[in-house]
Amino acid sequence: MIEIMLGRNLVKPNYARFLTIGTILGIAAVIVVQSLFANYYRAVEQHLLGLHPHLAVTKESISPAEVEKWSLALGRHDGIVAAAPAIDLVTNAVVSEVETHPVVCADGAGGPACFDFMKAAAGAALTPRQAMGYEIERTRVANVRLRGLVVDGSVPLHSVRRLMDVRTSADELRRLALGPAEGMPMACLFDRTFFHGAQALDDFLVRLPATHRDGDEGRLFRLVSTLNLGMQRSEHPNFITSLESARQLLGRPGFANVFEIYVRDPHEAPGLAQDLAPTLGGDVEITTWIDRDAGSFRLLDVLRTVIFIILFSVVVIAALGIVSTLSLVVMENRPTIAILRAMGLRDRNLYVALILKCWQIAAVGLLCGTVLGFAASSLLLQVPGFRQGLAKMGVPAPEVLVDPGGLAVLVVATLLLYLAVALVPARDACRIDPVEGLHA
Amino acid sequence: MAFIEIRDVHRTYRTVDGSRIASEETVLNGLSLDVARGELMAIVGPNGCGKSTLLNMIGGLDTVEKRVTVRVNGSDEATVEGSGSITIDGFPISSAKGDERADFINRNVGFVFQSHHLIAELDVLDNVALPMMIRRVSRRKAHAAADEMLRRVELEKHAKKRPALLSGGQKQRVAIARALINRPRLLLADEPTGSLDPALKGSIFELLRKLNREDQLTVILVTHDLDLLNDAEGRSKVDRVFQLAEAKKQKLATTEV
Repeated sequence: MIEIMLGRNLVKPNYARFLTIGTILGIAAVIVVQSLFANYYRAVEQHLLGLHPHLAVTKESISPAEVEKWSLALGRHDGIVAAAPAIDLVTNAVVSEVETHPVVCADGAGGPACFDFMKAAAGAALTPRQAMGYEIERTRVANVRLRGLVVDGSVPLHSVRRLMDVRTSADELRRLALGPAEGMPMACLFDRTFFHGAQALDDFLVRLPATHRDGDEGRLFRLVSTLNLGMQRSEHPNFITSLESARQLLGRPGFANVFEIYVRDPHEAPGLAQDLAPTLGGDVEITTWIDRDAGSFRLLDVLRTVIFIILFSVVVIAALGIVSTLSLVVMENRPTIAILRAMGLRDRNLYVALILKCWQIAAVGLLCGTVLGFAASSLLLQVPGFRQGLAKMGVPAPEVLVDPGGLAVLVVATLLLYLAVALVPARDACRIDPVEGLHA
Repeated sequence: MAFIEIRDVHRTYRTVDGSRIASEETVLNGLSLDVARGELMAIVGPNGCGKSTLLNMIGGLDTVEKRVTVRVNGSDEATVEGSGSITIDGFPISSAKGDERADFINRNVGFVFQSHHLIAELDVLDNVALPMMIRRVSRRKAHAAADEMLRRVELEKHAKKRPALLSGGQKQRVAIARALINRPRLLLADEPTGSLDPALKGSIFELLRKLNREDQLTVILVTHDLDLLNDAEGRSKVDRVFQLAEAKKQKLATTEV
């Protein structure tokens, strides 16, 4: 084919080599950036999915009859993995870190008499708090988002586990799942930033001023693990416990204000929300995890747009470089182009020759650039410092992530760009006056 | 009807400095000329009288009716003007455009220039085959035809060489082979012997004569070398010598010898 022969002879091997190397590096860079962003996006999604149910049906108070009715109705839906009542509300809380002591109590004539072997001298009377076996070390008062979860199956717990700093023992998790045991602290989780220095298995006394009367010390909780939310910050610190523990803390047996639904594909939650609305009646509010964190997703979209603009700017600059190189090629080849015109070469032949040459460069660039991009991403993730940096950004287990759809877009966009890049020099080549070219 | 009809062709080159015309030079002034099929015609004349311009117009490389501005030496600009018409075997080459003109040139016109203008990156065989490949003939068939053409110009042994390895005369023979591979009806040669030593000049000219006689090829030759056109006894070796006078005298003084 004459055009392939022309392209090979017009664009000297040296130019073609450098253009190809530039393309390979550009494609590799796009793949590395895209992979990192995909990791970050996935981490954010997992954080949000760890915190929120896929779908939340909210009502001021959900009656046991409604729980039963909805459970039956939702159980018949194919896409739903789990559905359970829960508590999700913002409340003021006084949370105190406490040190517990072994205390022995015995019934006496004047009521129970207790003895703390570590804190009190033998025979000395204990304060009521000492009698409960703890000392308050520090206190924080804040509005918290109190969540009480029923762990029916493992879905909610599994979701929350993504955020846990410490992999707590199976026993502790089971206690969180099953609810409070008699005489034992109730299990809880809260944000790492809520109580700095808090460690798993530390004990905390939680009192809700709106619920507990004066003199009521509140309820004792044991921290199962802190939650690492990465760069995502909730409006209120999360305080997560079992549904039964939350009910006890609130002093409202049988209370629930949310019906949490987990579905097979979280991205189908918005569609499912529309499907479920008629089933659940009109006096409920249905929100998806995407609605709930629309701000975060908007931020991600902005970030994605910024990254796209930066990458696109780089690509445009690179494209301008290719245009100028090809224009130089055309200038250098004016006599050759002129003699070809004198042989009857059509404009179309020149366009096709330069477009095919550009596509050849693009094809090699895409192929080698993709391989290099995967390799570079993989190597980058092996660098300990880089991994730690990502972990600080809330991406704990990065891997090479390239969306096939995104790769297809990259291929098409590159071919289109290289088509556009070839047009200007090809037009210049067609405008060469054969007479002038022959005298150049 | 003549094979080539040239009617009232004008060409003026103007040098423009800003909005002022700095100089004006008319090279063709109402030129009309007919060329018969199979004729071997030489165009002669002083430098700057428009010989090459006329040849390029006939071959469709330079358009006849136009007014274009080209930049010369930085800010100076030259306006080129022309008018008239040229037809080759009834085809209006002077007004044809785009693919139509390109296809006509490819199939009907062969060019040979003083500088052979071979493509350095291609070997001799590919250089010769190029016009045929532009015509979408397969590379294999084009190479077969190029081999045949190289045999005619006695360069078949050099088919795989790059042009840089050939002598001036050999390069010009390759250029002639390239010009003829599509079996055109018209060969336009712009000082084809201009850069050759005297011994080679004769052989190239004889080759053109041979092709003219054997293939009934119409040949228009631009040359300064009048000795080339006559044999030892002073007889003309061409069918016609067209003396192109200075433009201001052209209408009156265009001379046919």
